[in-house]
Amino acid sequence: MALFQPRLSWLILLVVLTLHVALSQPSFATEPSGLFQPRDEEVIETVTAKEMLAKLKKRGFKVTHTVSDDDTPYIFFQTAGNDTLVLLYDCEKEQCSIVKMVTLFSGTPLPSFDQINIFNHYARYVRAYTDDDTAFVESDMSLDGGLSVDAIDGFVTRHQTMSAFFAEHIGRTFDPADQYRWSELTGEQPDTVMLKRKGKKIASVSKSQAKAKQKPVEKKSIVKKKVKKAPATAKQAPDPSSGFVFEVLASRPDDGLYPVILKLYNKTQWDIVKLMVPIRITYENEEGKQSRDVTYQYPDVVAGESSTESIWIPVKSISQIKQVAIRWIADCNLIGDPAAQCDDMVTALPSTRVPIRLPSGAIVNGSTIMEKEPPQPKPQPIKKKIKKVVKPVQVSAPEKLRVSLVSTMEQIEGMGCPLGLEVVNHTTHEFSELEMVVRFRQQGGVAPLDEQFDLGALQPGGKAMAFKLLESDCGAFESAALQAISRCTGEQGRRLGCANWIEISESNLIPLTHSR
Amino acid sequence: MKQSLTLLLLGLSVFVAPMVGAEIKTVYREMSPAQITRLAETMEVKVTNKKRSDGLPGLTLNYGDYNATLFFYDCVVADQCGSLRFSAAFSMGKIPTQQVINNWNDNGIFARAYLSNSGTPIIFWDYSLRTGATVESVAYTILRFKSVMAAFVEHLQKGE
Repeated sequence: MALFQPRLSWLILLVVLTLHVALSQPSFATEPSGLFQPRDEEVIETVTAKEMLAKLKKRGFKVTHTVSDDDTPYIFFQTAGNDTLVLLYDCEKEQCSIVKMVTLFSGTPLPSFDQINIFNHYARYVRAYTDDDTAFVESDMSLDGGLSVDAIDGFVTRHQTMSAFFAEHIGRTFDPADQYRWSELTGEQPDTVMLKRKGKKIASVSKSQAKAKQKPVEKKSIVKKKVKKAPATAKQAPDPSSGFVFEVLASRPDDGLYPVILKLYNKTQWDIVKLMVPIRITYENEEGKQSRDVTYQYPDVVAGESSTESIWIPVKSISQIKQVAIRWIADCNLIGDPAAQCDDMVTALPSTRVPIRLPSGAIVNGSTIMEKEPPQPKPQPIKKKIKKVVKPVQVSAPEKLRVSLVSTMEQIEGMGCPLGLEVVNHTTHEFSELEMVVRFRQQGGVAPLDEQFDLGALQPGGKAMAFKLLESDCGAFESAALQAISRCTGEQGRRLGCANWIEISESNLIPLTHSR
Repeated sequence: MKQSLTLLLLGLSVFVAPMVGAEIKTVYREMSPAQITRLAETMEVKVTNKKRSDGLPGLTLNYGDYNATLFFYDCVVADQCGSLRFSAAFSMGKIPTQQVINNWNDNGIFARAYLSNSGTPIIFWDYSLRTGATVESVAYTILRFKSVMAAFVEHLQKGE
């Protein structure tokens, strides 16, 4: 802190003067705005320990206020069993302009420097470090110049969220008291979206949730009830005014692979760091009724935007998809919101049955689609629209992850051009959550493109595929190249562990032959 | 000299008093590179556009002694972006140890440090506009990053 003492009075004075001049120029104020128009609001430039204490108490923390030997006011509390401190600096007459928050992760094993370094590279807003027996996650915020009155809440939430990420990164568990957790799937209530807040009653539960909680019913009766209760007509796409809204889109089947696309509309005012949506997809094929649990992952979806993720499942035709059920949400990690926002998102979730929209634009009721074969928009010649066009990667060493690009030549109308990554696990290691950031380029493309692929868990000997829908036109592709894998996480949680296992991080150009 | 300084301070304090004392200010939840450029240039920081491979906006801030890169994130509409990342990489001749980097993260403030794969020490400072910030707050951050860079260099030179 010595670096910034004393209070930068000179600097502040000069900045304020300069800004006064700068802001008096109309150009700044008249800048066209995007989602949020600048507006006059109450701002804070300092905070007292008492005010901070009250804010934290309001969030449900059991806090203790005290003063350190060097007169620094601090507040102590525990989150998920981890000691957390809020320290206030740069104080004059109890009014402080810098807030620091530190969460301690004691116990063993202590994360290595490498783990800490990786976290500091990829994390946002916080920094991590260790000493002899403890790891720390720390963040700080200056109120100088003025921040919105909501900013402190946002700061606390960001810190909590990133602490949870850090815990996951180092293989610990972290369940902040003010963060909701969805219930573990018990198997008894597979289609009920349940929300549990550890050790706390949910402050505002929606009526439907309350009902679901009061009347737990058996699996069969739920299914029947839902089928009856969810007529989901063509125009009944869920459209609450806030919260998360999911829409299931479908495309043409091909070669036994069927993309089930889950579109997320973020109608909250908060940016999502990461949202995981595990769902159960039920469908039928010649072997009878099938179901599959898959997890959609949405990283970095900003407020007001939508994001599309697809997962490919093995069915032969669209008619085999009976319905898609959002089963439960595993994680709800947000940036910049008070914890109460989670309530809003939960109540805004659509029904567990989601209608499937055919690419032709026809909407099919999820509960009745199977009674009659839905009309195909146009019979498609069954030829190889999806080709594994990627040349096999050089297999020079055993015990590797074999990575290859997979592409279709078919534009998914109104959605984009699919590009996929296939990873075969030739190692003896089990990867719990494999993520790869792949740099590829298309011939004639102006710049290499980085795409993150979430491949899920991968057992030894197993194969995982993930697809991205690129906004560009498939027709623009003449060839694509897997240039590099710039990030690979997955072995034991999110720790960077698979880089050494990758068989290939560069390949030659992959020709894409168009069928048209 | 001292008298002039006092007079200057008095004059300035009168001039800026309404701004400092006000509790209501214009709050921004996103800003464009153009706005940040104008703001930085007002404070005599030279700004040039930086091309990013991901297509998002970026700026190079030239503080005289140091250059920094300003990345824009959470850009939803046009170039209006909800968060900023100040970044600077340093070539020190020799690769600092992880302990040195760890010490910075322990004792430093605002920015975090890490070592790139090639051993380059890099600092990041993430700043969110989404929760609402005044222009003055952004300006402080722009100016403070220079101090942070200087402190980081000093820290690296000092070593363990």
